[in-house]
Amino acid sequence: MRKTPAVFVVLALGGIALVGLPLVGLLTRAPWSRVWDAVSDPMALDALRLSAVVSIGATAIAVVLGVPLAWVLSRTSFPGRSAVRAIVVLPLVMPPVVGGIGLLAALGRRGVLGARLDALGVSIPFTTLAAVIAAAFVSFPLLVLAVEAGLSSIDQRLERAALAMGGSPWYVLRRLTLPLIAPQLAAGTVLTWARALGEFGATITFAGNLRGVTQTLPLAVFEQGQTDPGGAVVVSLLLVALSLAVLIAMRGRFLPSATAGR
Amino acid sequence: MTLETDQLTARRSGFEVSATMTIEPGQTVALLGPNGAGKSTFVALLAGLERPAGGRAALDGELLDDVTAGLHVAAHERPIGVVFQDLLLFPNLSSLENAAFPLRARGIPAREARGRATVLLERLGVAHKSSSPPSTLSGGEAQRVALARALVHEPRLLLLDEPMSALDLPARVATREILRRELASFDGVRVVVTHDPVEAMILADRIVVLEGGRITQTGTPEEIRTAPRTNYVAQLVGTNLFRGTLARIDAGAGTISTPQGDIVGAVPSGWRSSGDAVVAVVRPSDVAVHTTRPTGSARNVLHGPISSISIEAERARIRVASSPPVLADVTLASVERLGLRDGLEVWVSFKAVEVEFVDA
Repeated sequence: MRKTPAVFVVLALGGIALVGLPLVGLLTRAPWSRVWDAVSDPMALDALRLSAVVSIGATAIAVVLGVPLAWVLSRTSFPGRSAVRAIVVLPLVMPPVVGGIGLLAALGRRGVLGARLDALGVSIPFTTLAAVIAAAFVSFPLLVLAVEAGLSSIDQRLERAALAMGGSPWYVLRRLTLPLIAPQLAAGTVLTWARALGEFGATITFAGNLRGVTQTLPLAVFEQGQTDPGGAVVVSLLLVALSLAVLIAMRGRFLPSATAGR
Repeated sequence: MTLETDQLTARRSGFEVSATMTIEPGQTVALLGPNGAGKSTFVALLAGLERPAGGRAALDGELLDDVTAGLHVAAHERPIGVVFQDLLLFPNLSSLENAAFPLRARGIPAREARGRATVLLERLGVAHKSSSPPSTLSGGEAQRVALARALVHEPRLLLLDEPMSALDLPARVATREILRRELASFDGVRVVVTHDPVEAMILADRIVVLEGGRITQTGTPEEIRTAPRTNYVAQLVGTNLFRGTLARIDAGAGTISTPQGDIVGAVPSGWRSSGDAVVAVVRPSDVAVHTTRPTGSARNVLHGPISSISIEAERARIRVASSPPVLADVTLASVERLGLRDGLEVWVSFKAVEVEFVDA
């Protein structure tokens, strides 16, 4: 065993505190006597239902569009590929509010695309669809990055061999490539879903905070926090429990661990 | 069935491979060349994995590539079977599904595909590993699964790229046996790509030598051995090949009788029995030259005059007219230190473990 430097121990404990303290805070401040009331509150239930729809919808969009995009990024070369990759990763590093403003500017009533949709009688902002799009926008890079990492870890000679064995490109994708990246695809899907579940800034900007339509759990927590802090803590714990449950269910099976190889 | 290539050419970053050849069915052709000669590129061309930069290729008169006509049959539409250098078994599929892959990829129903693959795995002696993933197979087993995958759809062209390079010696002996049998019963065009002259000589009816992206010589193994045209081919002649019969085996060592004398070598257990025709291979670099009779562990000590010394770069190749005659490679420093010269009586020695036996 190598001796751990004391300064590392101290800093590591600081790191644990940074991540763990809010959880401790939630647990100590929760009004446990009112838990049932707060959770069965119609507003919380509406938000829970909406969060399920929005996060799953956003994840579905990310998977359907993200897997092909990751494939294109890792398997082909075209001019401007790095630029495309940079644009895809951008939502990860820019403030979600900015994303929301951008979505409004594009899909809003006077936006580039929005104006045309408006002429057809379609208006996206401040609808559930807008909340889904906002969540998909911010979580999309996580899926693309995970799948692209999976694709680049595959020995491409295997795919060439499969072609030489008579597999059409589509068959090779289905029978070899997708099964080989299943762990990364699953991990990426979980991360994407978790990010979509927690989305706040882009949603409130682009979709607003309409109860039953666009008010997801994080928005409900925010609104409740201003009038009923105790209730907000309870709903927050609900979100934490949801995220933890998924992490635990996926652990070992899909999420990469430090000891597991690829 | 005949494979014809007409200046089939591939170009990558300053390197060009171009070959014109006709391979008749019913014979095994070895494409032999040093590393970097362009063998793998040529395999990729034949397999359709690389688009040629020029030339034509046809199998049974059906065009596979014709660059001037803009024709290129995609890899997955070619009637070929390939064993790749690193086997490249699909890690997510069992041995059986690996072997059945070419059938299923061609739309044959899973049941029938698995049935046909099972028959083949049985014939190759790996049916008991059907449900195992490739990562749990030994080198020889993986090799046989890869061979099953190359044969299962009854291709018209069988391409074996360095089929033995991944195997250790005992597995190599067993696999060579299987390869010879399968090659003999396969009636399409058979191409074995190898950098190992011994493998080429043993497996092939004809050898095509590829160097620097060009064919430098074509002929039967015997023609190549007796009339080498390039330095590289001359190296082949330099390998000590002793043909004879296995006289007796005791305690892991076998004695091979050649018309000119006996050689003792380590025999893999369970391999062959007395009276079988075998070839013993000894690399000249494994042979030591002495000016006095050596005492030591070497089982083979032969005596005779030096018949020639040829010098190449830092190395000298010594021919000794012993019985049987032996080639030895020594450094120039050794030539000087021992005072080696034509006609000098010397002893040569090599250990039994340095003798590789192959089927005759």
